[in-house]
Amino acid sequence: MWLKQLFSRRRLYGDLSEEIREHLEEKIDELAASGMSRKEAIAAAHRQFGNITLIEEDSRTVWQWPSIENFLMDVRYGLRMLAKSPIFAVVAVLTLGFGIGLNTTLFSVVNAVALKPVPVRDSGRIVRLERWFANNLHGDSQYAFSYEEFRYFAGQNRVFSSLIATSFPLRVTALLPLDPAAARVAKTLIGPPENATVQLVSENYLAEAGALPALGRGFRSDEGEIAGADPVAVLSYPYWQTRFGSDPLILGKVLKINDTAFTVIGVAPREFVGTGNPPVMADFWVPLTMQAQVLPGQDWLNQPLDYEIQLLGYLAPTAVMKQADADTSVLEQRFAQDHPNPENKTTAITVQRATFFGNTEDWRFRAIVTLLMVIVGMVLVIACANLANMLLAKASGRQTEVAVRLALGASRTRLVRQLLTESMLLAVIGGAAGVLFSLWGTRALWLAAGQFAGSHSAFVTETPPDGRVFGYTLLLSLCTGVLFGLSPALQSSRLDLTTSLKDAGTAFGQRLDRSRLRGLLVAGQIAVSTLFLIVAGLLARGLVRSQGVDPGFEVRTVYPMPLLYNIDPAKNNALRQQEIERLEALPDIQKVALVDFIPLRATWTTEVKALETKVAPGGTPSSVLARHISPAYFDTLGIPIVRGRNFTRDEALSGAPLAIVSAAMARQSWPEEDPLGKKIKVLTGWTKREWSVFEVVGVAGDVRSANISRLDPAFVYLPTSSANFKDYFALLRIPGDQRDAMGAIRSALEQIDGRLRPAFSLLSLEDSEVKAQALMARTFTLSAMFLAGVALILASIGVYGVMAFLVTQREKEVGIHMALGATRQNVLLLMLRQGMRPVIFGGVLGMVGAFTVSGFMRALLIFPGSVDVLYGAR
Amino acid sequence: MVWLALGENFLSMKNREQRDLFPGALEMMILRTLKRQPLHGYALAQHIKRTSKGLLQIEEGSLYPALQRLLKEEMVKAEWNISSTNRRVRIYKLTAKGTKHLEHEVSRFERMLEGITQVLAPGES
Repeated sequence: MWLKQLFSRRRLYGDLSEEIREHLEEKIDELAASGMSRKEAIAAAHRQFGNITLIEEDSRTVWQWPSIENFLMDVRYGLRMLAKSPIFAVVAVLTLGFGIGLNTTLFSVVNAVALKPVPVRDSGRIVRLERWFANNLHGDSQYAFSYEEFRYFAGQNRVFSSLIATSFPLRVTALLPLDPAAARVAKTLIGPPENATVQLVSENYLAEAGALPALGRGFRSDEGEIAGADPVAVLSYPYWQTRFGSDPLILGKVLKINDTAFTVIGVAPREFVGTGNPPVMADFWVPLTMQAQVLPGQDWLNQPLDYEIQLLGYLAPTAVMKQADADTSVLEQRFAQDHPNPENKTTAITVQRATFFGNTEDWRFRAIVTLLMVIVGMVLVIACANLANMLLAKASGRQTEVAVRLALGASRTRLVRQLLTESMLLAVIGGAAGVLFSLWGTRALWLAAGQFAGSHSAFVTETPPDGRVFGYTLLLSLCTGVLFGLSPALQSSRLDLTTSLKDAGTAFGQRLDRSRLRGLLVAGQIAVSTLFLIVAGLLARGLVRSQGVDPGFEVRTVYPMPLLYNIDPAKNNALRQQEIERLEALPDIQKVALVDFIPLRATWTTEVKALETKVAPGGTPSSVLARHISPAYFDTLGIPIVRGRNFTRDEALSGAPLAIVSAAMARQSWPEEDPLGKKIKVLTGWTKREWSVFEVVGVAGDVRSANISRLDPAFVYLPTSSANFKDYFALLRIPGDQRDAMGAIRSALEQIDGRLRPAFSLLSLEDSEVKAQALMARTFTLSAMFLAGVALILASIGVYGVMAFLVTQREKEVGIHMALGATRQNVLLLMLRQGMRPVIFGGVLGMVGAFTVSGFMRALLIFPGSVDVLYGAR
Repeated sequence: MVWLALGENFLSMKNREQRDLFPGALEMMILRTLKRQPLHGYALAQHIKRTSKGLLQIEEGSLYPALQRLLKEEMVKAEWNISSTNRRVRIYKLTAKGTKHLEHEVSRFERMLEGITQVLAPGES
């Protein structure tokens, strides 16, 4: 029916027009016959008939689906209007595309990080278990459970259809691959030791996550039963591709981790990237029961309080998240009855939708996201303000058109709708451009993020935009369209018909509030770009500081190096002792120090209590940066001991309860007192809460060892031998040529054990850490300056547009001023005064805003240390 | 301020509609007229004007949207023809559906009128 109408429509309309024409003619004839002049008759006939166009239109609407057809017509008309002013269209689309693109980019990232579920089978039902501690400890340990808890939950719960477990990504040194039957693989018979990332997983991990092997098989259900019995590994697809050239004969080959040979049984499918948190993809997966072989010296399987693995569960079809919260919490209570944790009780277990990036509930993460959203949102608002201004200026050129349409009987709503359709059209095209921009932007951001994560981290960077991103962009575009289109549309359709038709509009009175709106738009733009400039300036100051600054210790001649490793803890100690002695004996190496966290790369943040102090409990620092060091640390890095003494070698070896504090720490904890001999309590447990008491024997000078842009606020050095941390690094002071030293080191280590050829490169602290921090600072600052620059350009265009418009509109007025004796200067001043008012107003507003934001920034970002941005020191 | 202005405009649109007496009245009169004899637009307008003795203010043009509505509802049908004055005219004819609709509408209208008259009648409360 409707279709038939569509086809016969043209004839229908033709009939109608003809009919009306005939009607009028008949009327005119009749009137003329009754004695009127032809001219009078025509006028009278038209008067009595009414508005012909409107009546024809009304008649036609009877046959139409009016809203849709009007809309399509408006779209066609809008496209024609855009084609008529291509420069405007291009500028507008670029402006919008940029603004929307920025927002879409950020949203894509947030979407991938915080909203997107882990990319596994049935991701709508998979949840991650989260633990809540009595002491409110936050961070990764909230997602860590013990192996026994895993087995207990898996057997007892009533809410999950299945529960899977995975360790956090572990860095191991592997020998790849050693093929006992190797005929054709001479080149890979035995490779040099390589760093690889491995995850220990429950035997059902791959199968439950829907990872059907691309090659070979996954884990069998019996490969998670007996500790140490199943040395098998499944490779990740990219690792298989890049490291083994997609060799189909990889199955059955052997790779060695520590001294255990793991047989490759399969390759995960291309699309499987693991379960994230952190967003790092393992190179291969091995069964959890192989923990002791992968991480010698630890015993996850038998320590009920050793929280090491993450748990993910598929909710049963009938279960909801709330039930899972309750069920797991009850189970945990029962578990705790048998295995109480006196140090840190677990108060509850909850489940959360499993996102790929892990802990996004942290308030700092949210605050940063909000701040960024506001910033890019403001750029879009500036773009909108600009477009609104352009449209207002264009509208004045279209006054006659609008007036004609109004005169012909178009209703105001119809006109507003049409003008809005035009701006929506622009917005949607701009949105499409924005999506395009954001594809590039997101890619660049991921690459940058991957760089910060380190080239070996297998940071997953493939996050294509999904429906949510497109939906967001569409919504944003439509809102944008209304935002910049509504007020110009309303303004320009509110016309005094007679004046507008008589001349192209230079009435003084009517323009008043329109220019007020434009003034406000300009003030807003100026305010935002001032704000951006100041923020960018602040960041730039951080940049300058981080580029030129002296960290306070030696970085050019100090090289970090990982130490050798042996499966057996006792042998390991002996091996390292031997290694250190050899290194110390080398003439190229001036000093050798041991440290658990490499300066400027990482720090350990822990809690501290200063005892025997006169300062009120809240007044002393409660959290500090800390490192375990060997006595040679201060000499190696050239950090002075300003009071007291260093540790002795024996004290370090025996793990004496002594500490050296930084001058800042001493000042804050014991002002006007001698810090030497004072006691401090430090939280030393890694997952368990253990407090140990240390006696202060020395005070070290303040340096910038965590974050190059500021002195460490409070620092505690503890002697190395504590068994808390197994991963020590050596810091080598090599004043001469590092290539000579490298050769010497290599041959020295080969003398210890020929099989243990360490894969290492020597990069000084300056070349690695200082440069990384500088790069990070530069990236931050450049993006901020880029945003500020764009904002400024947009605002300048805005100001120029308004001024130009004002001046042309007031030509007549200027003429009168001049005729009455005003000089050029007077007129110039008059115009400037009016033009500058919003600029000054906006500037002041922006400065007030920047003041607030900079305070916020200082609280939020401990700029610009790589580790400190989210979880570092306070 | 802007919104106020928009509101005024809606009001003025309403005023224009109000001349139609009540919705459907014009259609009813057209159907009634066509029931007597098929007519073309102009003749229809003249007839309504004449019989209402100028009491109803109807723009001649407003007939046409109403006629289109009736055409669409298939209450009338139209045919091009040559009039007695040798003019091409489009003659409208009542259909069976139109006849039925007219009866229904007229009886509804009469009941409504009766109701209104009762209420307006003086001294009977």
